[in-house]
Amino acid sequence: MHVTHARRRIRSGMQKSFLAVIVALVVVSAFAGYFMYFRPGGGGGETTTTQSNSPISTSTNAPGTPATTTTTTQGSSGREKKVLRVGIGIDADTLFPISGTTTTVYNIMRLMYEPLFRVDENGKIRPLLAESYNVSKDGLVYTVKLRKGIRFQDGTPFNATAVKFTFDKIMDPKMVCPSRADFAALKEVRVVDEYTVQFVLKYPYAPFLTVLAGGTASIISPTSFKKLGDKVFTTPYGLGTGPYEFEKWVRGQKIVLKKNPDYWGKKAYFDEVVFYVVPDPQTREAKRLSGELDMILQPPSADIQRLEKTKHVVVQKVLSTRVMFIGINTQWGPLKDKRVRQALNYAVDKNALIKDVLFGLAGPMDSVLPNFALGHVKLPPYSYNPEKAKELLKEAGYPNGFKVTIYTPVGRYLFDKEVAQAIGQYLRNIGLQVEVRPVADWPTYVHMLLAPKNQTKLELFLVGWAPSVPDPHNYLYQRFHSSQMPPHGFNFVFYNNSEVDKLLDEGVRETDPAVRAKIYENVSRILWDDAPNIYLYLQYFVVVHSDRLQGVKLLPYEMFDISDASFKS
Amino acid sequence: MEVLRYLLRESKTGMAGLAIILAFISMALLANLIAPYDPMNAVLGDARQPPSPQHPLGTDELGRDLLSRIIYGARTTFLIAVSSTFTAFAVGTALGILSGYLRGAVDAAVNGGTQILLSLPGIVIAIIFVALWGPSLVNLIIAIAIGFIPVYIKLMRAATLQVMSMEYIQAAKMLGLSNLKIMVRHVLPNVLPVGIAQLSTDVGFAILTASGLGFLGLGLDPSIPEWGAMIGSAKNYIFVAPHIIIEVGAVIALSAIGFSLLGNALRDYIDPKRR
Repeated sequence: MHVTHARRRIRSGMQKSFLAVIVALVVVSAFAGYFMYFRPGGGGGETTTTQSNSPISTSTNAPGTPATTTTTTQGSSGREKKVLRVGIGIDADTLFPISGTTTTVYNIMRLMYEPLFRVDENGKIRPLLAESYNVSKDGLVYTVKLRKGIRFQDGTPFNATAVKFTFDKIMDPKMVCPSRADFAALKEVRVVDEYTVQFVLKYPYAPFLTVLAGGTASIISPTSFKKLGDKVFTTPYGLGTGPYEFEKWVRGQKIVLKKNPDYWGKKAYFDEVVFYVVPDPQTREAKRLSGELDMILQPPSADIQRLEKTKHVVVQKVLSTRVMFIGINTQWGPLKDKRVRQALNYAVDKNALIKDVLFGLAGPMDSVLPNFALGHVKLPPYSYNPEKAKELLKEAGYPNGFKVTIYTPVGRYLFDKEVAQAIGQYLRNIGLQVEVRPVADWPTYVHMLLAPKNQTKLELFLVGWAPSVPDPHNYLYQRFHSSQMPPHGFNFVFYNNSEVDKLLDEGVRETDPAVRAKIYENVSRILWDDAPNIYLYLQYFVVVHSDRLQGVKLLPYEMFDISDASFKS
Repeated sequence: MEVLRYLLRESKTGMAGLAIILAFISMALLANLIAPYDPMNAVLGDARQPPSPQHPLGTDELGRDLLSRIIYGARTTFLIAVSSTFTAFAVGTALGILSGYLRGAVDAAVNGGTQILLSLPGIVIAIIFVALWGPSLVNLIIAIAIGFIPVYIKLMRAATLQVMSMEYIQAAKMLGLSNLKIMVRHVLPNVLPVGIAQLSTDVGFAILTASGLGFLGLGLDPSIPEWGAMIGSAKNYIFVAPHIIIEVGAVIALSAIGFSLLGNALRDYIDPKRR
């Protein structure tokens, strides 16, 4: 008994000293933190940043990443080999364009494969493998003339047969194609002659050309496809026409592409492009700063302003296709009243949200559609005006506000939880009683969004929308057509307006872009005024690269273009 | 009173723990009097300000006054921590005494359940519970409580077994008192001190568990100040505004230490060898 007693004393003594150590540690680290942070010149300054980051990057050196910090290595020919090293957050799921799902991966595939058309940085559709096209009056037949003299990387000539082969695969139900719904209107592809194909549609579908310009519609070589079999997903040697071809994929580590020496267009500048998988944004940032990577996608958002001030670092951003908004359940209580919905739009200071919560990584929405989409029209803004908002609430019969819940996902969008809280505060400022409910699990959140009208819990909720095809139809139809209420579509604001329905139906059939633009301008005006959303902002897509690298272009659909890129000598 | 006298005389660390806890509790109770700002009021233009005369501890990521949030946060945080440990204490004590007193099938069943709960870390149990039934104050309290129950069962069962060998229990049995009466009148008072000592240590752990859940995004409305959720949100701003995570972290550590110190002192006080 005496022994246990003594032991207990000792143990308790040890605990006490352990606690003392903890207290000391906490106090010391708190002081250290304060000191670093408030020191004149600031611990957050640029020079200290770079220095303190480099040891981190060497210690987190993952297998498969190069230990050298030089970009150019001596090739066997004696000439300097130009290698572009890009850091990405996720590994590829597949390298076969028809089966692709993810924008980041399409950024890789974009270098290997080419579709008939491509959307440029201004949203214009430009022929790529196509030379020209015309659409029949009824909007059902798209005749496309192909560019001549192109060969796939495996040597197979590019022609109408290859195009038909590709689209037959897209429509083949046995082939994995998650974006097949985009091609639902396609009935068949006809080979007219060696360099002419016809796409025959089941019904007029105006976004079809944009669909043809998407990564999924990249043309593949029938020869290599047959030879590779199941390997098309993982080792697609010679399958595309692009400026770079597949060389190697080390799972979870890197994907290596090499220059296609026989490319039909402007020859590639880099001998190799290597995509390194670095999941943690902070590590990606550190590797860029230490020179291990030339370029990274999606750096840690809160650090971007700091990176912009860092020497030898170039931060490029472009408004992406992702529109962010607060969905308003237009069939719920006070939110049925248009004046209340407008009041909510006036109550939120979008510019402050962007500046102070999103670190400037977004641009305000000036319409229902993003500015590069067909039919975009600048509309009178809902400028921040809490007084007007209160007035509108009073007019609608809610002078003392009402109780409302804002749902938000966590970590799905840039600063989603923070944005929802800030909006909650803005609504409290005009007299509403607001609860913010974060839903950490994304599938649960989607499930909530897609609940039918009689089961939905939604009142206000934060959502983003980035259609795989950046056409106004794809932005608006599923979100606002009355036939698309859950569970049939994504009209989770339960918006029901026969005029909008009619215009959206016309918009998808009309093939003359000018007429279409007018239709979507009209839809935008109605939706803007009716306010079934609190219109917020477009997120930026951000790339950080070394100042040695020049000519990198960003495209709004979260893509980068290196066709004009090179190293400064 | 006797406890207090003991603490004053014998245990400086225990007194320190008590002082820390009392300070936090009075801070929580007087929050509406002492907090300089509305803890929920986000002023975006003031976001991530370092400490200044206007905001002694600076502002958080949405421009809310951090001092006010820490003061009000004590309410939610302590409410969760104290209720969950007391729930666990109550349930665990009842089950522990039952199983130690009745033995046999009841004992086997309770022991089996305890083993299952013990095989999972408390935070995992809490995550599963909150994921299944959603985050609300009550659910959060129950979730954390479940993780703490097995300790009390084990503790109370062992104490009960010890008490059962005492002569006064035998006497009570011979007098023909009902089992319930014996358990409540004679076993409970004799095993309670053991549990109380454990209780005050566990409050500290419960604060950390609640913080962990808040950190994982399984907590409540993030506008409502709660220390764990606050530290979870602050981690994204560790380079831009390190003062947030440092201050909230220090407060959580301090309160956990306070409960821990008091718990240790109480254990020493209750220790029968001392008397």
